Amino acid sequence: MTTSGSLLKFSGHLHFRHRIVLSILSGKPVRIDRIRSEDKDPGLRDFEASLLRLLEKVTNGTVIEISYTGTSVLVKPGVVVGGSITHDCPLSRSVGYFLEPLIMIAPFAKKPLNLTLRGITTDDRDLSVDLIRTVTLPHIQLFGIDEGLELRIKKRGAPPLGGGEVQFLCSIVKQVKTLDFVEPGKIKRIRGISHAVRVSPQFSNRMIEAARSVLNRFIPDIYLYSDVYKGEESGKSPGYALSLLAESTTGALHCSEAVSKPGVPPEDIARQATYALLEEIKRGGCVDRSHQILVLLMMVLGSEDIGRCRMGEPSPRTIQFLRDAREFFGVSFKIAKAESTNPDSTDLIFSCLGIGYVNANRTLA
Amino acid sequence: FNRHATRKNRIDWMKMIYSSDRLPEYIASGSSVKTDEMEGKDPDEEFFRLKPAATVEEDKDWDMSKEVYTDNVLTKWENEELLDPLRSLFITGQQ
Repeated sequence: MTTSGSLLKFSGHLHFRHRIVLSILSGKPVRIDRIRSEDKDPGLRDFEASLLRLLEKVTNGTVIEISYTGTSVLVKPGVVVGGSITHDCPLSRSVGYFLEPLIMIAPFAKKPLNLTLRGITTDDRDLSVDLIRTVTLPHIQLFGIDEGLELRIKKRGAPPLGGGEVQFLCSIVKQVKTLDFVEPGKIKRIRGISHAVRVSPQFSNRMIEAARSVLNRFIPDIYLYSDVYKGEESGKSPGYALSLLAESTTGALHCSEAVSKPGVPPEDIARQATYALLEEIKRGGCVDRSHQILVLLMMVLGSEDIGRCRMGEPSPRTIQFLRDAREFFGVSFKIAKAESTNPDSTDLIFSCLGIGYVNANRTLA
Repeated sequence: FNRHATRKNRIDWMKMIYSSDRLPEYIASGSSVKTDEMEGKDPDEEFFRLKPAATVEEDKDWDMSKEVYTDNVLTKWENEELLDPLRSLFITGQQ
């Protein structure tokens, strides 16, 4: 086993997930100190502890030590095994919180992953299962992770009580492809999923109507699907949400979402989602802002060739990720303006030399 | 590339990300004005300026991937005039 890597130290609870992911993929142990040490309620939250337990299930030989106060964690990564796993997520975070890091490591497992997660399927903090299915998965398909990639939404679960269930299937790869994606293209279609559980299905149609009233002026190719879940499949709490995605001629995806809040009519929720989509489209690039980290990680792991990708300005999370990725893999990106002649354009080209990461866990055929 | 990026609206991303210890939130929100202003300060002073911002940030940061839009970011789109320039990003718009 490759545990020879030196221990990397971080402090604070921020950026917890991508640091653990980088540790597992690089095989380097990581220690995170001062987790909310100044807080009234110090230490790890239940969802972070739950994520660590899930990662323990997905891997073999991972050693996780949590200090008595919970303010410090040591992770010595083992091998990613995959296989068939079921996990109950705490109701403090949606299943998206758990799926995002899992999607980053699942392709490098020993066996294809078949993960069932139970909990909240849509909330206002993490990517909902709809966006993960329609936007996140296409983003990793760019890297040649294609076959058997699927997310099934079996039951929906709105906060606070959840009751949803999803199944995530991911095949394994030997190596990821190098990305060269610099043409953002023009938006050719808009798709959306509007769902309402344990409330009148009419809410879903009202959201579609309101979103169309803004978007229709731009493009005729709009299809907003009203996804109705009934009875047992609709979870334990009422709620509704609208997820939107815009696809360009070159396959660039941008997404947005808004989730029901008490006392806010569905039309306002739909408008929030719509305006957020316009904002996201305006920010430009070939990659959605909430997927920058995923794409950059796969670029680092890519074959030993120059990968290029055009993106909008990096988010704060992305900036920290770029720094952390350099710590773990020694890869730094070259970041140049995409259009040096156009002063209005804020798009950037991120390029890096992939490390040629090979899935060593994969059983030799 | 970096040496020539002298224009105000060009933020030197590589330098900011890899060779400064500025907080990510600062860099991302860094409009040109802010960065220029920060550039001249000596490191000690900068340190004291950043610290309070950091503690406030930590309380509400949930390590979440979804973008939080402030209300005025979204409500500005209610202005119909803003929608028109966006047309060029769609296939239906002219070049």
